[in-house]
Parts: sequence; C-alpha cells; structure tokens
Amino acid sequence: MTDTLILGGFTFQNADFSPPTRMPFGGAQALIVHKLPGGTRVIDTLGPDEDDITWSGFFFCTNALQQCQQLDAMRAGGLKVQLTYAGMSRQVVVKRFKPHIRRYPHWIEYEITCTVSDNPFANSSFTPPATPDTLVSSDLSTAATASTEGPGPPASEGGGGGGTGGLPLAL
Amino acid sequence: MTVPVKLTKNLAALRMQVAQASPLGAAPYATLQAIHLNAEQLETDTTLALYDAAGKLDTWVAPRDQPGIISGFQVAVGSALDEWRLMDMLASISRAVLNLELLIGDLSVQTQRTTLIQS
Repeated sequence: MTDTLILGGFTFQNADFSPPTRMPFGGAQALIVHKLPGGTRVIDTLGPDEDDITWSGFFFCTNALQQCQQLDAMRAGGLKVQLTYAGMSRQVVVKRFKPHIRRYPHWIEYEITCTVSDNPFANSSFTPPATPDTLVSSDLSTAATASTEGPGPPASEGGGGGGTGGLPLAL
Repeated sequence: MTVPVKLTKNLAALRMQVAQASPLGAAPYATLQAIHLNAEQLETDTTLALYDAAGKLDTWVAPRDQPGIISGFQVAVGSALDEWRLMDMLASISRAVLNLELLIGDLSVQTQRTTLIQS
C-alpha cells in the first residue's frame, strides 16, 4: 500500500528518495500520580500528550538543495502546517530541521522534528470522566429504583465508574 | 415479601449523606470515609439479603395440599422477585462503593475484593 508524506504542502517524493524508512506517531497520557502512605497511588489522567514526530532520510536528486531550503524556510517561519501521512493528519510546527550535505548539490541527508499542535484523532476520543457526585448518586438512585420495581434489565454501565464496567473515576 | 425495610432505609440515608456532602471531590476526608463505610455496610447487608432470598428458592419444597401449593408457589415467586431486585441493587451499590474507594484513595481494596455472588 502506497502512502504520501506531505508537510505543509511539501511532498516527500519517491523520485527524490526523500520519504523516510519509518514514521512514528503516538505519545503519552499526561498523568499526575499522587503517592500515598503504604504504597497506594491515585492517578489522575489529564488526556493525551502527543510526542514530537521525528523522522530522517535523504534527498538524492538534482534539486536536493532547493528542496532542503524550502523545508528550512518552513522551520524558520514557525507557522502551523499540516502534516499528513498514513491516512492521518495533524497540525504541527516544524521544531527542528537539520540537513547534512553529503555530495553537493544532489545528496543531502536530513533530520526533521515536528511538534504536534493539534491531533484531532486523539482529542475526538477523549472524554473527561464524570464527577464523583454524578457517578455515586446515579448508582445509588438506580439501587433505590431497583428496590421497588420488578425485574428489569441489569444496572446500566453508563453511570458507573468502576467495577465491572464504565469509565474509571481515577485509576 | 419485599426487599427488607432496613436496606431501603439505609439506602435512603446514604443517598442523603452523599447529597449533603456534595461536591464529594471537595468533601473532608473523614466525611468521605464515613460515607464509604456506610456504603460498604449496605453492600454487605444487601449481599446477605440476597443469600437469604436465594436460599429460600434453593430449599423450597412444593407443598402437597391444595392451599399449600398456592401459597408455596406465591412464596417462591416472591423470593424470585426479591432476588431480582436485590441483584440489581447489589450491582449498583457495589459500583458506588468502588467509586468511593477510588475517591478516598483506598485502591488496595480493589485487589483484595472477593466476589460473593458470582456473575
């Protein structure tokens, strides 16, 4: 399956041999860990924290220097640009671009690092957990209803925060 | 027979405590701990009541006389209804207890919990 790496309108073309041999994505989950006496921990999750996207490769073409100068201008400009690859798209800022001339002017190796400004893929799936009051109150309300009503479907998972299902309150 | 009055009263009291302590995230630790202990006690009482209702069904013997058959059948149906209600109650109460444990940072309890009623 073929794919095209595009950074701010600049296409890394196979004809230039410039596409990298590997491309990363992903990152971390921002956490605050409260360490309590006895080894107990309470972990608050703050949401996704995207890693910088770094890749390297080389240009081997007649206009290699011009291509690198174009990317370097993007780095100097410091504007948000669109990074597209592997069916994914992110808003990034070119944090670092470092070309190394191996054979002037047609063989130049490069390393590039982009800082993610916005990752719609990560943000769209993140939902902050409900408040403790909502979780506990809704469960107790369900229990009160169950105590007076006849047989019904099992307790809903939606209002829960732990146990057999539901989003953990703080885990 | 219905769900024991003690359970419904304790459940109502617990709901009132939670409402008064709201927002739970800002409530004093002692208050949260007290609510948590009450919820755990309610969970235990509900489990025992469920055992009782299930035991009546498990040990039910069909009466032989005509009036006995009718009343015995009604008792069996009543126990089954109670078991339904108590199972639903226990599922929700247990989850509330777990959330309260998470809230007070008593996470070690989670690994030590034993399942009294297998799902």
